[in-house]
Amino acid sequence: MSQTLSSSTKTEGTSMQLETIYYDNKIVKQFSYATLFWGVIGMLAGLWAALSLAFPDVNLGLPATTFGRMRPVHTNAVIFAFVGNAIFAGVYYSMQRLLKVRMTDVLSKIHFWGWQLTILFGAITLWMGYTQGKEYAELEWPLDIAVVILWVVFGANMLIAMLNRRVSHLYVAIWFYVGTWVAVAMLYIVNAMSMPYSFLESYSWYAGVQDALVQWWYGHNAVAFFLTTPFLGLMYYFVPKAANRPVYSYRWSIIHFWALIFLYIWAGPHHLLYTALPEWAQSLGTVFSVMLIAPSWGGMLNGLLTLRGAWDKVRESAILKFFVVALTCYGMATFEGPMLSIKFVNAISHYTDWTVAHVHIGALGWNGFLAFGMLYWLLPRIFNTKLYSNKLANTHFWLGTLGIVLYAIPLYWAAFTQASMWKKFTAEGTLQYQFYETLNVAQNAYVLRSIGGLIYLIGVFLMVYNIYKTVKSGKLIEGEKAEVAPLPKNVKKGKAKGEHWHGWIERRPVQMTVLALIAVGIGGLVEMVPTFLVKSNVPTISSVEPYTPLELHGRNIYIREGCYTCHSQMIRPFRDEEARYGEFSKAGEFIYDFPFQWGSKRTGPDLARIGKKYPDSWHYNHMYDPKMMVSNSIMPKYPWLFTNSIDLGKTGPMIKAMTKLGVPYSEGYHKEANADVEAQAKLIQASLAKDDIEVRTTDEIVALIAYLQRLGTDIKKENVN
Amino acid sequence: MAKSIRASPFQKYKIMRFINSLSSIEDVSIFPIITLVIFMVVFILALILVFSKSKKTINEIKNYPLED
Repeated sequence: MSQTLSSSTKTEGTSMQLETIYYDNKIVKQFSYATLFWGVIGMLAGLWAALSLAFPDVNLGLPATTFGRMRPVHTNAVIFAFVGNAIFAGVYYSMQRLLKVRMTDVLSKIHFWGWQLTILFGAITLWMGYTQGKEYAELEWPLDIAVVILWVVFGANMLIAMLNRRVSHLYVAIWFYVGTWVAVAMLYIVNAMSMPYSFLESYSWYAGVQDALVQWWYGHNAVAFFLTTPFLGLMYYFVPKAANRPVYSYRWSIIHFWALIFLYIWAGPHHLLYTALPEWAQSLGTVFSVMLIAPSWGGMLNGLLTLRGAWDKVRESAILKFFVVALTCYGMATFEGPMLSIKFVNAISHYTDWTVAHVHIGALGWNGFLAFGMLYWLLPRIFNTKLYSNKLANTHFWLGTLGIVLYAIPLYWAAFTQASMWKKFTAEGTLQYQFYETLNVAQNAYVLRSIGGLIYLIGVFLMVYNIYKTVKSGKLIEGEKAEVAPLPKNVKKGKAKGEHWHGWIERRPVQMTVLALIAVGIGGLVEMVPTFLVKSNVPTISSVEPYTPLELHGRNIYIREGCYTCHSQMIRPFRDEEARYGEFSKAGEFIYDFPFQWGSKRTGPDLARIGKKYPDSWHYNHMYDPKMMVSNSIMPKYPWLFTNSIDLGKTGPMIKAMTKLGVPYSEGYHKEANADVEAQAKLIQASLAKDDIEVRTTDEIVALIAYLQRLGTDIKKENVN
Repeated sequence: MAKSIRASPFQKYKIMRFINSLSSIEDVSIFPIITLVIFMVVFILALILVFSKSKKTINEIKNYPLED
């Protein structure tokens, strides 16, 4: 379709050259469908993961269906596929209309199909166990490259649209889109840097404390700049649209934007309170997190107040109901977030299901509901029809709300109960509860939250049906006709006469982008550079040595199976944690951990000092069937570790990659490493034989035992320097 | 086991050599202060930017979403 047609029209006595353009609705339709499709897949994976914690048999004893692999599929599918496609659907719809320009067709196409393919391969590789082992950044390096290329395509598409726009100002939603683009590009690239050692495997560039800092600088800002800022942009467009009145305060929205992008970028370290991260970095994270309440609530109120005088409409319109609850959940999550960043709250909440409940208020409430409201609003419009059933949409709303409540409340309750049980001592001064004795509390909650999740998902199925019927009743307007006046020349070129300096910045998308980059870049640099550069931040421990090649193989298995999704490797300096797990973790213990595996959740106990705690045969039996060793364990079985062999051909490349990253293996060691693999495996084979267990030296379980038995043992050899 | 794989001791501190090839920073406490200053400057600029705009312009932009 030709992009523009010119026509001369006489309006109110003056001659004005109006251009006829056609907004691309096809791309909006495609991204909307993808949102629903991946939403269903991502939520099904989530439900599966939830059920497998409630009923461990659901793991099925197969690698792909086990929690450790299903969980990354769930998180990545929901974040990048469901939320990602919703962002693109909304951006492509609103941006064309706000800028009065059609997006570049070829870029839109590459973006759409490339993104779907990347997601598809992402899901397949995650199920196969190819993972970088960092939360929400699990995709392996070839897919990372694809994501970056597609993100550039998306950025180019937006930039071209902004440069060709036919309006003089950029509406605030566009600011949020640009901020999102800049920040995500920076975060994703920095965090994903890795050293490949095979086509689909790699090691993070960073180790231990540095890796943790980079990861949570990324992880937190993935929430900020993928789940929050783009959705705020959508909110600033679609809430006024649906309510048919402008945003409550436009000035407020601009302050919201600058304050938010600037504060968010600093908040990452609140994920690492009480860890081996330097104290000053932890405090920085806390302060900025608490400050975040102001802009977050400002934004929420701005959205809600947009509905002033329109509350009667909320009663009838399912769309507005979705928006109101989305904003309320945004307000709840952004109040809770800063609270969780306060150290004494974090001491209780961290590693428990509180965090899981918190993120689901955001994901189900804020992202889910805003996306649903938006799709209910725009799909009938681009199909030139009415929504098939308002009643069904209202039912979806109530089911969704009930689902969120049922999901979150049991987890909050379980988190409080379990955390207080973990911290409880007897009068004699010993721990009152063993870890496994606290599992039942969590497991009951897991059953209830699965029901909550199921109800939410049923709502989504109603929506899919409702949309299907809607689409059937209408016809897609592929190119939506609009007649627009071109932008006056003086606005396009340089500073207009008598114009303020800021008008020049604001009208120029390139300047805006650079400024946004500077704002988020400074935050990232100031936060991370000192930790990278100052040696005193990571005191070295002379007894800490590189992993042996067999242990490295074992560590790869640990990462592949997603053990970090349930086990932490970070003992905080609390009395109960030291009594339960051993001496608190030191920064210097992790210098060879590419990537770090501190984890963020203790569905099972911490493993930082599991090494040498139990005999090899204990681990063997435990991995074969956890219930043999811990009767009420909810850990899955890992039968394939007993038949799969480690790939000795990879030992050399693994050692080479590690050497390149700076691990001090001696020169040429990659050629001899397999001899050490064999030697160490024989020791484990002999130790298992004593307990009448027969293994081959190349069995995966042997490598895993080698790794587990090494964990946290180095420090016992010598004191900190 | 681990002994056989260790290289000369001075190599040990080459961890993270991509990053450590940069020089170290002496006074770390200046960073939070720089942070605060930069944030305040940007924030004040944003406030000036927003409040110096005429009501007419603000209303014009505010109504963009309703005009398509």
